[in-house]
Amino acid sequence: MAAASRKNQFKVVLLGEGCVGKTSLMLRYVQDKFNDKHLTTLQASFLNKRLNIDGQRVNIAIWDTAGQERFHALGPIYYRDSNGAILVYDITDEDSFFKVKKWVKELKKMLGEDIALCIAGNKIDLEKDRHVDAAEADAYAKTVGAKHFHTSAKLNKGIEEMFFELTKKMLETQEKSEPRDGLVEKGNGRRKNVLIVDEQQPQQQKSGGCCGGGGS
Amino acid sequence: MAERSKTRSKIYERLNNPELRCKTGCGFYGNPAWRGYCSVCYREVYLKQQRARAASQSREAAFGEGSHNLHSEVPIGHEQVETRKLKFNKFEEKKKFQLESKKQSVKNLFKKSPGRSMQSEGAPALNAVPSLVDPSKVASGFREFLKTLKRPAAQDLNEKCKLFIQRLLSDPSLSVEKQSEMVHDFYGAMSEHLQSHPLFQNQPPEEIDRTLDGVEKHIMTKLYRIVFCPASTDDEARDLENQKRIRSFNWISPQHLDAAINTDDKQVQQLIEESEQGLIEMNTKRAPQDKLACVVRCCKDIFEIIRLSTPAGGAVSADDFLPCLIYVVLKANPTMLHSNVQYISRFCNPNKLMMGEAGYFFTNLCCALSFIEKLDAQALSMTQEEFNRKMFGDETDSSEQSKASPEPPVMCKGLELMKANLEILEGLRERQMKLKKDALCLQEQMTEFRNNVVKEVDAILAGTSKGNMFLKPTVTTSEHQGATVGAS
Repeated sequence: MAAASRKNQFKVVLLGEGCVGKTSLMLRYVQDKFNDKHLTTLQASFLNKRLNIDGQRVNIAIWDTAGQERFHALGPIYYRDSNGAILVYDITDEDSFFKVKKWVKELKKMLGEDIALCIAGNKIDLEKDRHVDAAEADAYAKTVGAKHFHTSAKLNKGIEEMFFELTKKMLETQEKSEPRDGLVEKGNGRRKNVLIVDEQQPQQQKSGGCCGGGGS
Repeated sequence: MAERSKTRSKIYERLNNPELRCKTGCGFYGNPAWRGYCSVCYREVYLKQQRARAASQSREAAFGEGSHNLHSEVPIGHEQVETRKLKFNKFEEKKKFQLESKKQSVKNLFKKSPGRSMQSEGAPALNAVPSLVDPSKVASGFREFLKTLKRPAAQDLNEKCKLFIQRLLSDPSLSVEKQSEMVHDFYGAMSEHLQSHPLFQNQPPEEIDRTLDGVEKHIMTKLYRIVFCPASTDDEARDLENQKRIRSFNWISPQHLDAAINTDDKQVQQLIEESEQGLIEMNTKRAPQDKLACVVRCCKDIFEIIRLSTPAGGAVSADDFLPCLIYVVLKANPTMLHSNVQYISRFCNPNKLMMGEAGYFFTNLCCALSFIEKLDAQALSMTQEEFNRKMFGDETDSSEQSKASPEPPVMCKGLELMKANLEILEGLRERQMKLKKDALCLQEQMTEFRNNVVKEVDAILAGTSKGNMFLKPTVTTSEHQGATVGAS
């Protein structure tokens, strides 16, 4: 995980109430390509996925979060430093949609615009029991600048597209923030270090030449 | 006088008697208790005999080991031989055991030596416990790194590390945040430097990562003393507070957390212990990556626990995982958990914390800790009164029991059993009282009945004495008796 390879590494958190199907979504998405690899490991709360988007190799780490109400306060610990978030709700459960609104508010407050958001209305295979109005959800997603997807882990619908879109969005954010990052945060600190080290370099090259490894 | 001289000469005679001297002829007197030898010679002779016997014993046992089993089946009559043989065998076993343990300790010496030398090289002695988990494996990577560091071409790396360590050590005024920032910057600079380093030009990126890990371990082991749980923060106070708090939560069972743990399963119990061990061991490591490795080990065990506890199987989601982790943290009550978490998040290579499995597990540990710090009645979905009762009920308990890891489920079971028994006893007492009352009542009735009978018999006797003795005495008594029985 050297600095260069870190460039296209993204962290995506899955947020949403318990039982909305976060884990199923994630398993469905990752298992399609790493079938034998991930079926044997039953651990399904942290998965990696490699993608190739427009010739760029991207690695995304998907983090599942505990959705129970009692763990709601732990959200910030989970989504700290994440590049993207997928907010999942169950279309048959209105409460889970309200919960998504709550998450969005929190995320915006904590991470601002740096995070790419996607909202997933899951379980569209249960369309007849729908309790969340699709048009309303679409409208809401637009107001917060998130993409809205209709997904079903059972039927494998909409999942691939959702992750693809999210990754594209994260790549865009990365490009936008890169110059700023390089100048302000990393540049200053590092240059100082490198400078100091450089001053020392000629000296120890001399000593390195005559007494080999004895210096340490 | 003559008498006296006589006896004296007698004594001399006796003393000069050669039979009294030691059998070996050493000139000293012997003693029948020492079989005619003097004390010195007896000891020598006796020891010789003993040695000879022991040698024959071991010889016998050496080729008689198989036959010993046969002997043990021989009943009575051979008993004496038997017991002696057994003794020989025990002796043999002991000898073997000693030999083996010696061998092992020698082996251990060889095994541990690299780890130890590494530590002494790493930093001046602190209160760190040497690592127990296959030190060879952990150390080998680091040893490689140290070797690379000694190569002439890598002297610049070595110098950089040295310089950086000195810079941090020489400036105690730096705040932890500043130190953390410097360390992170150093990781970044080092990573950039390595990518353009001639030594790593044709190496795979894994090699660079490995070297970076080595750098991290190298500098953090040396800096550990000043940056772990520094006095400038409230880490230590938080640690103590947390430890006390977790101790007061000893009544929490997996059910309270909705954790899918089958505590009755032996294998699960063992895994729980192992995962606790992982967390506890974290405090004994120095490098952030080693601490992280402990966390990962603990979490892997937890996944196994969940798998064993849910026979239906299926994927383990974070919804299942976090409650179990919380439970394990509560049970393990690891020392200085807060300090360790802070230390890792401050000084571990940030790339590792943000990505990868280790980062995920570590984040979950942070969540568990944060949850425990704020744990209240609502979080356990119980009422405030119930929560208070549990807390206060157990606060007295825990102060009495010290911290010898009381097991909440067992305690609850015991209490439940006691309660049930008390109820049964209460019922029994009530029944006894009723029985006693009934018995008294019966006794009263009996005496009354007896009195009645006596009275009637008297009356009849009085009647019969007046005349008609043979006419109908029986009839009347039976009539009367029937009447009294009916009345009672």
